[in-house]
Amino acid sequence: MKEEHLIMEETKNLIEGCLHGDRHAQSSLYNLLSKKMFVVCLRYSKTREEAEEILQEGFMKVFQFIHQYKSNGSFEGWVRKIMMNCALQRFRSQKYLHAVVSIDFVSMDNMMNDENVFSNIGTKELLSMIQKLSPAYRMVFNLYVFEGLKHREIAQLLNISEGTSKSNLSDARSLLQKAISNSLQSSQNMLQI
Amino acid sequence: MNENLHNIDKLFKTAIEKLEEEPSSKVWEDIDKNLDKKSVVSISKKYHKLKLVASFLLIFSLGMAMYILQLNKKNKAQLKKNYDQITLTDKKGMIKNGAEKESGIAGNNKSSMQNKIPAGETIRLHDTSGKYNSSHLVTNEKPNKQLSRTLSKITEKKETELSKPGSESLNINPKEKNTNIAGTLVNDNKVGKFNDGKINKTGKIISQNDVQKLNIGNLSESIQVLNAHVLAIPLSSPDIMLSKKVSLNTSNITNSNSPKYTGAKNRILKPLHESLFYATVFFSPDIFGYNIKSDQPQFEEDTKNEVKKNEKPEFANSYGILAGYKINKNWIIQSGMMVSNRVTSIDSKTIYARPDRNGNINFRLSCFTGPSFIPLKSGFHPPLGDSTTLSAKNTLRYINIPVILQYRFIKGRLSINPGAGIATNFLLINKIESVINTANGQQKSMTNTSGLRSAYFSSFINLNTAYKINNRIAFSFTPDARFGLSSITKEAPVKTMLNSYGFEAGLNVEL
Repeated sequence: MKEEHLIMEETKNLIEGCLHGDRHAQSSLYNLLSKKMFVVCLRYSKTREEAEEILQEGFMKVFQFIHQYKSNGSFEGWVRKIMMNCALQRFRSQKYLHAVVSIDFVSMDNMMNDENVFSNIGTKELLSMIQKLSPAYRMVFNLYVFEGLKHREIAQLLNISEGTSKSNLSDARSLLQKAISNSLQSSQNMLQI
Repeated sequence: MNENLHNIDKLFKTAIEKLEEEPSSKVWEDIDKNLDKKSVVSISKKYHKLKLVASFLLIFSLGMAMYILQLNKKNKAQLKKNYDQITLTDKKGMIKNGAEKESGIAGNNKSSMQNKIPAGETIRLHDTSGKYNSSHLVTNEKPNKQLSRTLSKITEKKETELSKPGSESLNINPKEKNTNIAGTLVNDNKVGKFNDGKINKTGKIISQNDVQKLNIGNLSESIQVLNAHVLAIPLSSPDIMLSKKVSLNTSNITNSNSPKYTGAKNRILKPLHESLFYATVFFSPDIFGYNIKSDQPQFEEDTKNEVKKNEKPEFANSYGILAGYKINKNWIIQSGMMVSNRVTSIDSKTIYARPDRNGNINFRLSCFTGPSFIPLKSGFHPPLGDSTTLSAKNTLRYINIPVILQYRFIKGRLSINPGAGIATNFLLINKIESVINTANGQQKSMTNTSGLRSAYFSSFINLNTAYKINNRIAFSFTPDARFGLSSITKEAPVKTMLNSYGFEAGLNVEL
């Protein structure tokens, strides 16, 4: 409890510094949140490079609009929302560049071949599984599971129907389940050998 | 199956939410670089309101100029129309020259002007410009009793005054001027002779062109004179209005003594065109310098000599648009908007790590625009008093709003206009692009100076030389000197006054 209070105090001081354009405070705030936020960005991206771009863009917005932050809410939650919006923006701009991916054509080979040396499924592998989903599935899965949005809200954000959102989520889950079972099977095979 | 699917949600959520991953260091470097750019841009955003006001003023001025231009055009068209209607050179016109500060124009019934006037009525021509001390009576003379009464009233006047454009006035004193008028007439027509301007009886003078009537001052009866004399009545101002909304425009008026007035054929009534407004577009390569007063040196590098050390003005220019208004024949007031750029280079200067306003230690550059802190990209803070060398380029950009009063000396197409004025200068951009030597090699960064005023005042002295290439366009060359009246810095160790010399070259366009 005491530690949490100290972190809050530190964050408050850093925000104050950022409001004055203090580069040191900006750097410290970045160091404090970048690791957590990078995972958020990774969840929404296919590659690490894409996630880094979202992270950079997100932090630029954080420093630019930090004066709009109201102290009554969680600062981390506010930054997380900015990251999510940056990812959404990127998704919208690239939406029509992605090929429509049908569940029937998703290859499971990649999932099975990647990092198949794990005895158990590690968190990084789970993250990798999300990254390997098609952009639409990944986006719906993230918004529903991690951000806790309803299908109606997701449909509005992504400009799709509720039915599509539900269908995408279901497909994403099925793919992830298959990936997990494949991964587990692969680990067991490795152990038997 | 469904349960398994929901378990997947939980599995992913609990596993990934606690995960942390280090991004590459390149991300912060890029953010740092972008923040540098933003801080420079933020200065221009800071003065957004000022720029809005300046833009509004400029647009308003241009709007007014356009409105006046339109009005002038409309007036000119109206004048031309009226001029066509009222043919002063009508050979059959009859013009009366009235008494003191009055001159009358009358013609016979065939005169186009008089055709506009009901029989027996008199219209007074007023000079509303104030340039002429006269008004004119135009009478559609009809031989009736009323006219006779009008004429008898006129004859009671002792003096007739006519004036010509400018300061010189033409006074027709019955004693003197009538002699001249009559003399001309006599010479031309060999009809009669006036002695000492006293006319005691009606004298008919037949011109070589036509016969018209002129009632002058103390003539007891009307006499007939040349059209030419009638045309000498100053109707030149575009502002001369007839009471019945009729305007006359005859700028080329000369003294009745002039030999030009020997016949209506020689009249040139075309007005000289000169607009009240003009615009100047210019570019000026500048030479600039600054005066530094070491006001409150915080550190040894803040002294006047240390600040000036290794600093060199490198490049300066100005460009903009000015609108001029001709107050009268000789005076012009000018205003508009200029952009001035001032670039200074700083070579291998030693800088020291000093605490900034927030207490953080960073390398500090003390230059003529005030102190500037240069953060290291790594986020690392050097120890207090640590030193390094730096090379930098300091760019200042201002928007200048000058107000200049000029006096015109005109000789033919050439005009030389010395002027003086003041300008308000709004800071638009200040950026310091530096290359700093660190333990890890050279680091480039972009920052700005803290302690610059948002605006400062300067005085203006110039000598404009303009050469007209046609009625509307003139080449313009203006050497000028601008001296700072207030410091460009505030809350800084140094007080700096910016001075510059410019060589403006541009075009003047009459609006």
